[in-house]
Amino acid sequence: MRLIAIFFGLIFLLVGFRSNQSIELIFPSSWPEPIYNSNNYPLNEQKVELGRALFFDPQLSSDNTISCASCHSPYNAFTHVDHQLSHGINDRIGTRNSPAIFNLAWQKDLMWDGAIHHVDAQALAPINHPDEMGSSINEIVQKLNKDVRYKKAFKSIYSDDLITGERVLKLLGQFMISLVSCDSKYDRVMSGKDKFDEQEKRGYELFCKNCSECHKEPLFSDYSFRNNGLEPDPQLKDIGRMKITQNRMDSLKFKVPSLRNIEFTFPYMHDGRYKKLSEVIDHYDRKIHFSNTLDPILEKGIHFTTNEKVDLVAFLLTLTDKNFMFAPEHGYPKDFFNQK
Amino acid sequence: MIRSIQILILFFSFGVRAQDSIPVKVMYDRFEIQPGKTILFQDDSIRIDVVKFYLTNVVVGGSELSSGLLFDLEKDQNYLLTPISQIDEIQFTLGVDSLTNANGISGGILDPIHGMYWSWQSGYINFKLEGIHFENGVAEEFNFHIGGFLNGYNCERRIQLQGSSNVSRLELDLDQMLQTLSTDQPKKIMSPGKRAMEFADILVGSFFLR
Repeated sequence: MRLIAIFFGLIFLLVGFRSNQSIELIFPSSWPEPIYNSNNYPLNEQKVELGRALFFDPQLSSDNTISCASCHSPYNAFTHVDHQLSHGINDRIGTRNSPAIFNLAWQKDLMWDGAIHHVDAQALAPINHPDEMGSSINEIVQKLNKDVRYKKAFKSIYSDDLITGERVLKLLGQFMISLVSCDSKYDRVMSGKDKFDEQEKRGYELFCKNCSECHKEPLFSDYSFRNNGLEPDPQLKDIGRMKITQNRMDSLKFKVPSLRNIEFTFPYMHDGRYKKLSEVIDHYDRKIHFSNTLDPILEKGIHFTTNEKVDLVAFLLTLTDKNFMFAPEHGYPKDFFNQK
Repeated sequence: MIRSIQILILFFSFGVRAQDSIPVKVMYDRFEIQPGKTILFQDDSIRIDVVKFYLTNVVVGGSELSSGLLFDLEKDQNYLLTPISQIDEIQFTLGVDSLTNANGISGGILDPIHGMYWSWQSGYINFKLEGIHFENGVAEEFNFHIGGFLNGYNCERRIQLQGSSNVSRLELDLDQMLQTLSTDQPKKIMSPGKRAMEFADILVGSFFLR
């Protein structure tokens, strides 16, 4: 009897340690070190898990209909595909295309205009936006403090069951930072585990020659802010980065998005104006809109033959990481929400 | 048993440091502001609805206080806890320092539930002043949200004040700030920038030990 008790005691301890252990971001050794300072707030398995529950919880919106995952679905590399612009409560439409969420640990400034400088502050923007979740962190904290599932989960992580704004936002930050996409065919080719076919190889050469300065490998973005020659939308009147810096030289500049998972992150651009990759390539080929802040790289456009466009798209499809998108640990946490 | 309790009480009496408090008040034209009450302003009137601001990294008598203050006009009492009663000098940061801002979200008085964190962009709001200006029968809202720590627009301000031997409170005079309402400038500052920096500079000269 005593032996059985010791056995179960050991099992309990092992499970306990496992579920509350620190976790490291896993990424190829050829990648640069993340910018995210994990020393200040190390990733923790339980916190990431609870952050995932919050991410999928519509209680974060004012009418309990919209969760973070509504616009950032894991099956689309954590963006949406239904709308050009983000879709919020009461069928309201926002002002920007929702950006894909992955590899945030390598990004200094978040959002299309770099408005957010820290992942823990990121969720406040959609939470407060009247056309997105239309709520407030205060309202969310009040709701969650009445939810026994969260009280129990907070108690198991912290020394008390108090749900605060700081804790909620940091948990969401933990989950978002944990999202690393690095297992595409491209990654397997680079690590010598796979090979491009002839068309993909030609596409990769075209990419290196024409696109890689902004969409820098291995993250497929240098995360700089650039004006890529999109004609301003007269309805949206979006000045991009200039809204944040108030510098005229930043007018119409937006963050260069990563091309990883681009097969699943349509529509494209900050205003979602292009539905297909072929339209994006056509844009650089012959639709560049000239303005004072146009990136010098694009002054002459980027021209491709019809065959080259097909080859380039073939390469871009090698950036799809289905293991990332369909990973169970990134999906809806039904065990959390099904608990009584 | 009773003797043990007495010893414990004695122990804790010595363990806990005696604390005094400095009340913090918001004034206009030498009168204390009450939230939501209309007051005379030049030939018209104004109503102050919101005054909220951070006093952080507070140093009194050479010692840094363990906690700062989120002043809120709607609270019954706003005061700084200090280890000494005689205060002839105080230093504090009006707002949240850039290092804290850079580290993201904090807790306690810095928890974003207090409504002092911008959501559309990063950073704490150091100071809020909101109300209504009634001028020639027309009511116009004013909103001054002062903050920002990036892109050359750091609104954090360090303030040092000297007082006499009979200091009883820390006061913020709104007189100079409210003069802005008489100018042609917009009655709103809602983002970091040049006007927010100018407003922060006015705030520096608006605190007094009295």
